[in-house]
Formats: sequence, structure tokens, C-alpha cells
Amino acid sequence: MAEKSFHLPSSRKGIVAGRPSWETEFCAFFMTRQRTLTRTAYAILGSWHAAEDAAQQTMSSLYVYWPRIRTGNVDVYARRVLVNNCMNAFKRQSREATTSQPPETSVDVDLSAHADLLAALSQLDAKQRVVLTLRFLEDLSVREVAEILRIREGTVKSRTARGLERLRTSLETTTI
Amino acid sequence: MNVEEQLRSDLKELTHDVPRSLNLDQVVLAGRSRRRRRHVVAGVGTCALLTGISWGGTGLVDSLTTSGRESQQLQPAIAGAHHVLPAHQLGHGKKSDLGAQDVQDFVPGTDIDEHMQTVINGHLDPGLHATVTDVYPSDWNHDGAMPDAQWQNATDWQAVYTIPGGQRLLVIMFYVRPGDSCTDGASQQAYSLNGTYFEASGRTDCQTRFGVNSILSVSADSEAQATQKFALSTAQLAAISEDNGLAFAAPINPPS
Repeated sequence: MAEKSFHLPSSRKGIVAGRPSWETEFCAFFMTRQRTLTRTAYAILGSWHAAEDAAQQTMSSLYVYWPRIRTGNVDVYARRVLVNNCMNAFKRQSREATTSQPPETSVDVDLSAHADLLAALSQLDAKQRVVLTLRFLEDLSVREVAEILRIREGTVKSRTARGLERLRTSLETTTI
Repeated sequence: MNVEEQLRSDLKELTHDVPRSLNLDQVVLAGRSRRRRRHVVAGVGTCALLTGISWGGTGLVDSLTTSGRESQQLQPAIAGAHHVLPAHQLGHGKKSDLGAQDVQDFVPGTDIDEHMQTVINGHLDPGLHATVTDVYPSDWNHDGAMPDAQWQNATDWQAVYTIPGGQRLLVIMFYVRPGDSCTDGASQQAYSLNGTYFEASGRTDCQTRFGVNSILSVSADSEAQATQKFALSTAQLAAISEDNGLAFAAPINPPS
């Protein structure tokens, strides 16, 4: 087809027929990362329902800021947003826990297969769960976790060590 | 097995079976809503391509391809009489005695949306079964719809039609932003992007800095297939974009 000069209004630059040109990229990211983000959120929150909420919110945030973040390290940004959403969920849960029993987190957890692990993880504080999840579920290095959480590598190491120690103690009283 | 190995193994096993996939539809709609609040609106249609849905086809996609709004109740557009109001009679588009038309009122408080449909419908053969899905105001700072209530400040008006066969017709009336270059006259262009083929026609009057673009698009495997699918010819698209009935008064308070 022949290319001829054609004027589009300035507000249409970067989009074609009303659709942003970056949307294909975002959708590809969504399709490839949604499962990973949901798994990570579940490991942190211990509830599929809460995990889906956190991952869904994270994806929406990524959509909003995609034009700005797409050229950078999107995975780091995505994990950072996810962790923030999970921490916010933790805060909501702890507020709810003071007024209602039992806490919502335990409602839809399948305790049958991994009850010990879930119980042990639930004994950790939120920051330790986040670090252990990123280190051992996502297999990220200390440096990568530090970058995501914007903390020092030494802090990642200490949280990992304390979390593992506490986990070991909890598990020893049950299965180990 | 030490505690690290056990944790690694158990975490992977524990999280292996994700019960449900996230909802791309909801993610994008929520994202759109948040972007709109940030005055940066985006359309969604390309997501459908990745989820295996043709963007002219399903209700889901119809709801997503309305370029700047949530889903609309879709009604078939009926090609009616070519009722043209000259620009000077449009004033600033307040409700007037436009008369009964088979058009939809997408933007309360103005006739510009109905008038735009009337003019465009006059160029669409009833046999095309074209369906208007949205008409909305926009401006230089929006990639999609601006809030309806601010229509008096619009520098663009856009009408979106779907045509069976996965085709989409977008007609844009616009004022060229001050400082932007302006190419006088009519022009045509054909191009493709990610498997979507576009046939476009436009006209711009650099004296008034007003113009109209009509853009037809369709998903296709090849340029030849796209050409075969296009329900409107270049001449028909040009007839729309060059129709002097497509006009609206310059905004009272144009954005900076």
C-alpha cells in the first residue's frame, strides 16, 4: 500500500486508532507474569483470595504506569508494587484481626497438604515472609531482593537468617 | 534436607496450582479508569489480540474497544438522511432542535455527538450494518475521552463504529494544536501495525487549523487479505473526511 502524507492530530501520536501502542507489550507481560505474581502473593499472604486481589491490583498499577516503566526493569517494579500491596493487605488483616475472629487469612487456605509450612510461615512477621518468599520461591539473589525492597543487602541477609531460624524452630516442633 | 531446601521445595509445591487466572478484562478496565483519573486515557483493543479474541467480535471486546469509556449499550446505527449543520450554526453545540434522528446521545448537553453520527451515517450503506459504539469529546491532553461534562473545551471529537468482519471505523474531527505543523489539503494513507491494517483518509484546513480523519482498520494475516476485508473504499473514506458537515466550533477554553 502506498504511503502518502497524512496528518494525525498531535494527541494521537503514539497511538493508533485510539489504542496506545504500548498495550500489546503490557498484555504480553500480563500473560507471562500473572501466575508468578499470584504465586508470590499467595506465599506471602497465605490466602488465594487475598493473593488474587494483590496481584490484580498490581497489574492494574502496572497498566497505569506502563508507558513510564516499560523501558526499565519491569520485573523489579512489578515485584516492588506487589510486595507493597501485600504489606497493605497485611495491615488490613491485622486491623480486622482485632475486631473479628477468626482472621480472614485462614478462610480459604488449604491446610491439608502443607499445614505445617503454612502454620510456620504464619508465625513469621510480614517482612520476613516477604524476604523468604523472594529468596526461596522466586530464587532471587540477596542483591536482587535488596533492590526490590530498597533495603541493604545486609538487611536481606539478617531477615533471611532470622526467618529461617524461626521457621526451623516452628517446624521442629511439628514435623522435623 | 535442610530447612532452606525444604522451604524452597515446599513453597514451589504449595503454590504450584494457582486456582484461577487473573482477569485481564478487569485489570485493563481498572487501569483505564485510573489512567482516566490521571487524564491519560487508553484504549484496550490490542489485549484482545493476545487473548485470542478478534477485536470486532465479542461482547468482551466490544466493551473494551470503545476507546475511552466503559462498555456502552450498543445499538445499530442506521444510515439516515444526510442532515448537515454548517459549523457556524453549531454554535458551541448546546442542545438544539436537531430533529428526530436515528442516532444515539452519547454526550449529554450537546448535539455534536448526534450531528457527527448523522453526517457519518449518511456515508454508510445500510448493507454494511455498521454499529456506532461511541462518540466522545477529547483534547490535546487526552489519548481518549475527556470527561463528558467538559465537552465545551474539546479540541477533538471522535466517533467509533464497528463493521461486521472485525472492522472498525474511527472518525476524528480535530483542531490542530497551536505550534504543531499543519499540512494543508486532503491525503490518504495505508499502514499496518501488529497484524492490524489501517486505511485512512484525512483533510486539514491550515487556515482554520481544523481537520477530519477517517480511519478504517481490520485484523488480517496479510495486506491482501486486509484489502479484501475492507468494507469501505479509499474514496468512501475520503468522502467522509472531506464532508464539510463534519465540523464543530473551536473550544471556548482550549487546553494549554
